[in-house]
Amino acid sequence: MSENLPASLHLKIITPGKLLVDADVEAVTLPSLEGYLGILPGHRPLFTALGKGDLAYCLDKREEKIPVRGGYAEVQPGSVLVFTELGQDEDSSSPLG
Amino acid sequence: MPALIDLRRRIKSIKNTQQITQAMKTVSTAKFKKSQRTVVEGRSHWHTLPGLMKRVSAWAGRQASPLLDRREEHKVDILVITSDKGLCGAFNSNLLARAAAFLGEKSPSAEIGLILIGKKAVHFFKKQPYPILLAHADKVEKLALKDLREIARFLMRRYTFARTDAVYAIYNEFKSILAPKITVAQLLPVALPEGEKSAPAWSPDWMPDSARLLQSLLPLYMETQVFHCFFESLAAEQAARMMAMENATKNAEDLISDLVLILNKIRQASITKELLEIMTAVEALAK
Repeated sequence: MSENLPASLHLKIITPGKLLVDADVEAVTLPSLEGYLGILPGHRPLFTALGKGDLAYCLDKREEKIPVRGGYAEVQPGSVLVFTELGQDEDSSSPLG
Repeated sequence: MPALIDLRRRIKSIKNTQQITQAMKTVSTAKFKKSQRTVVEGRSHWHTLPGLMKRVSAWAGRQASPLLDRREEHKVDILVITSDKGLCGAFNSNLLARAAAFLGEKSPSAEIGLILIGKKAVHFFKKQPYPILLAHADKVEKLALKDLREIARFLMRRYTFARTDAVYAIYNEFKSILAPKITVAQLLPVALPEGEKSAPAWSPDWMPDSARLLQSLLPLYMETQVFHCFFESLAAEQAARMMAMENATKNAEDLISDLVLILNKIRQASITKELLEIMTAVEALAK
């Protein structure tokens, strides 16, 4: 299955308030309940609960971090869908400007 | 021909009414802006979660949770959401008519239980033979998230213990400012599109295991659905009231201009008449 590996991950982060991130990224790090999970394009399908911590993703070679507090993430080979609540300092680290 | 004083009085009272409708329009515009923001910002969450939920439940299988299990509809619970106050056009009456039609469809084959939000719904269904399980008839606008969560839990409990076999929600979805869209949605069981297995080829890994994940995900899903229905209805109500009050203000304007026209004509006529009388008198004296 390596022949049609997607080149990037479509990351969607959705909070109860709004659609926070909707972008194609190179890598995502999820704070799962059992530690941080690095997700690269072509990852095996995974459905995981999230714990407290920083969700990081690489966009245009830059790393962005979002503090999250619990939630769920659905990983497909070409996409990551995250439902979460933001951690406390959501304004100071607002992503994508 | 009506007397001048009566006309003046009518015009004045219509002007008063117009002022009130104008004020109500302003108030509901402000409220509408606020609830529209909630709806627009929340929609991505509300509309993506059901899709995810469907995929998850397809992977987990029907036995994973009692909330996923589909049963024959012998007992049906229906959540009806209206507003507390009137003066918002056909907002409530259309919805209640649709709800009554839906109940008529279901009631021959199933026992019905009602969960009502909004004074109008409670007044309407008081006269009907269906049992009301839960009703919020006061201060619907101020209903806290806690109360909505309680409704979601109540519905889940009833479904889990097989006191009901399906839960539907009937509410006004905020579609555009001009007209709300009456929506009938099935909340429980978490519906899979019929005949279509949307699950991808292989099931994903689970962390932690699927049963525990579903246990926490399903309540979140239900709460989100109830929030969704409620806030959509709230925004639609304000939009409907805004429109209704705008129309009322415009009608008052038309009415006033018509009446002023009549008033002027009558005034003119009476002046002409008086002039004529004076002229006749002068003519007679001159002879």
